Amino acid sequence: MGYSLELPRHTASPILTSDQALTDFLKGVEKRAFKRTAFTVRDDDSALDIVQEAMIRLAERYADRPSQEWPLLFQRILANATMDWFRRQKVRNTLFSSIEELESSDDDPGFDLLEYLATAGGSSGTESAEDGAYRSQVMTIIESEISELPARQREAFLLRYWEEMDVAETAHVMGCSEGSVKTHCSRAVNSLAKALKARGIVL
Amino acid sequence: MIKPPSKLHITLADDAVHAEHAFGKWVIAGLGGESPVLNAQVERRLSAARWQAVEAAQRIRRLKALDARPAVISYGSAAGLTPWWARLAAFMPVVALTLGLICIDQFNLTQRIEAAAEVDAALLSDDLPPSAYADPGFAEFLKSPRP
Repeated sequence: MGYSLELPRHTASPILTSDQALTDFLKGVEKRAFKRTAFTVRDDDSALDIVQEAMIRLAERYADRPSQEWPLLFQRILANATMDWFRRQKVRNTLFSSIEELESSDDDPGFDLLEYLATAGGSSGTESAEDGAYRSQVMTIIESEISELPARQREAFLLRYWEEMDVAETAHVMGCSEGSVKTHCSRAVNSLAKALKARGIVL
Repeated sequence: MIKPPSKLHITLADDAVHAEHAFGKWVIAGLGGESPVLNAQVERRLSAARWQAVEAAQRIRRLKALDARPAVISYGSAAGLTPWWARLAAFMPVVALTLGLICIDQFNLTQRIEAAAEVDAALLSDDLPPSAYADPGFAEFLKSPRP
């Protein structure tokens, strides 16, 4: 008959697990949150302050909620913190797209996104030493064009494609209807595609 | 790496939504995808902010634990929750003090009575009658020197 040696099991404390889960969650979202906020407020220091405020608000109020709820809560808190920042800056009006912005030259009948994408040459072939520099250049151009988008279009676009939220979640975070989200996204995509084409970016 | 959506074989018959989605994903890949590259200073500040947030969560958890504790280990301050014997116990020091004072008073009274009784007993049991002390001649006799 053999003897079995049972070692005591060290189970992680629920508190430590919860802290670790919160750390992991914040680590996963903080960079995108910073970049998105920086696009909106156009100032890195202010963007950092806003993201920090949103992180602390989430931790203080919702750390005990299930971690599945954190992404949506965090985006909502971040949106509110950004709004608060604009209120404090007394330039709130600049945050919202005016009707002129929404109905600006996005709907250019002469530009066809489908055509642009379908006829784009495949540059995914060989990777040369120049590709790194090219990618960096493309990134700078994309960032600059995104920062030029009207605020609501940019927010909708980045929430949908960067945060990978669905239309309903994006509408919840932005506090608008799902139809508005679709409109904002569509216009943002068209504006970006047109701007990138104009700057000679080959897809 | 930025992956162009050119191989998606998008045709005009495809839903424009799919084209938008493909383009959106391509743009996001161009931004650095899920984890964009940031400069070291920004990363340090984000890391510090994250630690502050976790500390804030810990602080709130401690405060909540402190709030919950009195309800468990004491009976609370609400009058309805205090048992009758606990309220009675609050008066025990006053009762003990009163009883102590009464006892001391009784003891002093007994001492005085006993002292008076001793004097009376000595006077009454003496050969000399007590009225002799009221006699001026006897007082004079006591003052006079004895032979």
